[in-house]
Amino acid sequence: MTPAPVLAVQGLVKRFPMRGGRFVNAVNGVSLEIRPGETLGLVGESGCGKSTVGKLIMKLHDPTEGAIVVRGQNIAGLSRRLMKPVRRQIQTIFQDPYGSLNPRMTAGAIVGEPLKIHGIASGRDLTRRVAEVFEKVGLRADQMTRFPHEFSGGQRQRLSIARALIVDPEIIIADEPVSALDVSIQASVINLLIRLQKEMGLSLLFISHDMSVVEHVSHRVAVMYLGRIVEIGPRDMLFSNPQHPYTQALLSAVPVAKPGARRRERIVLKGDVPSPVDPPPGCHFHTRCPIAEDICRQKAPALNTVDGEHRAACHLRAPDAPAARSAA
Amino acid sequence: MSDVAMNDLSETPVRTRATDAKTVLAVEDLCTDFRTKAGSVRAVDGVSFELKAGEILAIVGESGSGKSVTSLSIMGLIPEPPGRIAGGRVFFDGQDLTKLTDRQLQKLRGSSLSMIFQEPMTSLNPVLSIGRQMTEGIRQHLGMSADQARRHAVEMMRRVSIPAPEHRLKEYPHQFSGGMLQRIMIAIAMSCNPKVLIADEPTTALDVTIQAQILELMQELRDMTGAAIMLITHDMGVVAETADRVIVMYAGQKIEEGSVEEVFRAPRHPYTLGLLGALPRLGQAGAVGDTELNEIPGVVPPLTDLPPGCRFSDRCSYATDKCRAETPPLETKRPGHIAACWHSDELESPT
Amino acid sequence: MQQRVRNAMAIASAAGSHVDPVPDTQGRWYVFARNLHTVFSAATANRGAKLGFFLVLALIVVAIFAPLIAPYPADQMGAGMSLLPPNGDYWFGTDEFGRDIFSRVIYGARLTIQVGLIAVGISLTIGTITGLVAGYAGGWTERVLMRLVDVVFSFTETLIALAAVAVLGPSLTNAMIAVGVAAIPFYARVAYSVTLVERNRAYFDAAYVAGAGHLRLIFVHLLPNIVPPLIVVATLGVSSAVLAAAGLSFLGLGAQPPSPEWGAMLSAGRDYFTLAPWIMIYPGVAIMIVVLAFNLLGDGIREALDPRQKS
Repeated sequence: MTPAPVLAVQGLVKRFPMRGGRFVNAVNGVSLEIRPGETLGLVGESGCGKSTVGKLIMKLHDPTEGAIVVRGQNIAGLSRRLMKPVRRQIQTIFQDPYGSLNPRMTAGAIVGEPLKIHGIASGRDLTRRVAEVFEKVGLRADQMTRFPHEFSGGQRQRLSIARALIVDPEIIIADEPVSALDVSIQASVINLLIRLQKEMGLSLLFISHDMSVVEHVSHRVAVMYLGRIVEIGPRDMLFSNPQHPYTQALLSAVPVAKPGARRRERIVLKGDVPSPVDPPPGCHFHTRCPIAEDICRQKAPALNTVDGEHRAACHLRAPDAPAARSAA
Repeated sequence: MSDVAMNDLSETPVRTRATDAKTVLAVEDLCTDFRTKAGSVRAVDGVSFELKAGEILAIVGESGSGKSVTSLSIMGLIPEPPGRIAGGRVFFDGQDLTKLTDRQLQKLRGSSLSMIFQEPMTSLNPVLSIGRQMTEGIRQHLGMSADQARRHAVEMMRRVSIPAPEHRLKEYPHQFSGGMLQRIMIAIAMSCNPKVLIADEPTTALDVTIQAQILELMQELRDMTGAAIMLITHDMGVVAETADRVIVMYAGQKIEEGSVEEVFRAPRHPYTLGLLGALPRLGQAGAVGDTELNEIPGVVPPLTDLPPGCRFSDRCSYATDKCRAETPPLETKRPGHIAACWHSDELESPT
Repeated sequence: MQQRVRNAMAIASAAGSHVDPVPDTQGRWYVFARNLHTVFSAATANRGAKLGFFLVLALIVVAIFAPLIAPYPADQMGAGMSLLPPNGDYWFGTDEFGRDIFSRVIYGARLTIQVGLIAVGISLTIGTITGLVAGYAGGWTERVLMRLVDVVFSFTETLIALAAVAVLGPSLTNAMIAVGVAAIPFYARVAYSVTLVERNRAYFDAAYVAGAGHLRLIFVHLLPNIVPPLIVVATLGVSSAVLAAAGLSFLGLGAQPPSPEWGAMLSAGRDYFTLAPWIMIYPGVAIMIVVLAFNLLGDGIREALDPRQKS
């Protein structure tokens, strides 16, 4: 049996109202779980809803429907006051290393703030803890008095990580934590994240558009398209044997830094992602799918088992075969 | 999957033909300065290269490497002040572009020398229709009538696979997706049959599936028209899949140049080697946490405070006292492969 | 293309901005000193700003040391003959009561500073709180507050000031209050729009998801970040407040004779303009210089705080 998840999201839906009474269907029935000490990679292209899922879990937005269960407690409807103790458990690393640090606070004050907010430490004790966590993320304690603009992009992201770690959380939501960084800096931040996760036994939701980065950091991966998860499973299964045509296209489109080494024929998808205001009926992907049939235009596919925990939402590639299920 | 990646080296020799083609653009010892509060800095420092007809040359580097300033200098788009082309020559079409007046340059830009940018959304005027913006340049540079220009624009849009071009000509930029707009930018750039197309991070703002479409389109157009493409990018993957040759830049200088196969197979500069090792490779990840990505310690030095000798020396694991004292010259390390490093021979191949 | 040009400039400025071999300094004083330094270097960023800065400094010095500088008390009648033209003893001449105009202009600087500080103080404080609360709270609070501001905004400031003085009665204090109140909607609008911008920055989200309470979000995160643009607006606002209060005094609705308020002096000098133009010229020039000084300073600070010029 797999251990009980630290975070489980069930049937999450988020519709943003627009002018004229219509809605942006940003997240459309997403269920996933994160287990202790595990990294779940959440990938997809812009507008697929992956960041919204992150923001819903952080309660930056309230979900329209669905449950967010942290250690057995549904936080979806919690008030701000009741949310506060939960916030200590869930920390966040944002994408923008420039915007996510208050420019008028010193690095030490920024990193120490969660301790103050949760009344964990103050005064000398706080300074000591901040210094400790600085060291942990590869910064020097004497840099505490500096302001964010005096740090490089990579160092700022380290500050972001330090701020998330200082309250000893169980879960970290990292929304595109390395996509604003140069390759060489990105590598060091990824290494740091993985190292810290191992050391501290963190559970990580790693949201990214970059398939190679996600593959490198994740134990399990979920692929999103237009507000739905189209494929989810253990990383190696999903990357070596992708079932959903979208996952296949996504993987084949990633440029490989090895001249002449095309893994397989590149699947160039036709057209653009449809608008989430008016998603196509049936399978959301059928408008761009190279293998779509009639049923895809009519009925939305469920996430069906491919092999063990590997599941895909495709009528044709992972049909709901009871045989396959019992075999797993 | 990794074994598939390893074994399926289907060698498609598409990159071999540009070798003896005619040089269309030659940059010699280009230097571009910027005035800043902390004094004058040299953002591009003595860069030379040639671009041959029909080839795709990638210029790769991280932010602050000078790759974009290089392309803007060639196009004569450096804002002056604070910028200034401080030296060097840019030969194109038998003339030195750095000596031309703005007016003369304007004539070249958009006709035989054209450019596309990272943000298609901000490169187009939001209040003018796509058709108006496409035909403007065509009429100006090719001297066509309004009607001819419109037909030419439709033809160009068809060529970049925009459906229903007659209809879409009447629409405005906000009615197009980012990928479609980049297609239109390419259509505009290619509409006057340029000899050279400079593409500055053309796919960075786009999703990976759209990026694949655009890169494919650029290669097709190159094959069709024989134009040379200078591709500015930070993405080693894009370089490997699209370009014939590559130039690696660091802190304003060219540090390595060679055919894409050569440079990726056996980089002769530790920075290039480091960049390749820093990249997570699809299909090659071991168990999470087992393999660390290669880190390049430190940051790119500020142009106001460059280390003496080799500019990479303070971040380089191969660096010796010689590196910290003397600037290594660009030398031919293997036929057609040059690099600026004292220790090229000691470098291991990337894994 | 414009975008690229700007990018290129950003590259250049980023290249230059890395220089921070910061001395290894610790603690609160370091932060304070750095902030002070930032403000000072902002205030003296370019030539115009420098001129403005020193003019404002001079105004303050003059106001503080008025009794030492002025050769006569401000309202000493018969300090000289009446309506004397400027000469060696009475540099700016004398008025119809024989008061020394130079001394009156010097003392007037005190009133001008008072007017500027109090009027702008009122509008800045109330305006900032209104805009900040509206921008932070959103929803109904936002709608009600900002509609209210819009309604007030739709009257011209002078009209509001006139009405306020008509109700409160003419005096310099009332004029200051009136000018201050009239400008509230303007400051509220500015504070509101910058609050909206800052609220959407990731650092605000970061503090929110860390569990920060309302007060912390407002005072630790939003306020320090909306202050810089408000300082610019307030500096520029001083000049309009001075001008408006002088205008009210000129109309007889502000400072009353024998107060050496510059606007009141202008007003009093009207009848003698053809005979003794210096009565009006010198206070008029003083108003002009003060307005110019604060405008220059405000523009200078704005330029210095421009994010494109900062790292």
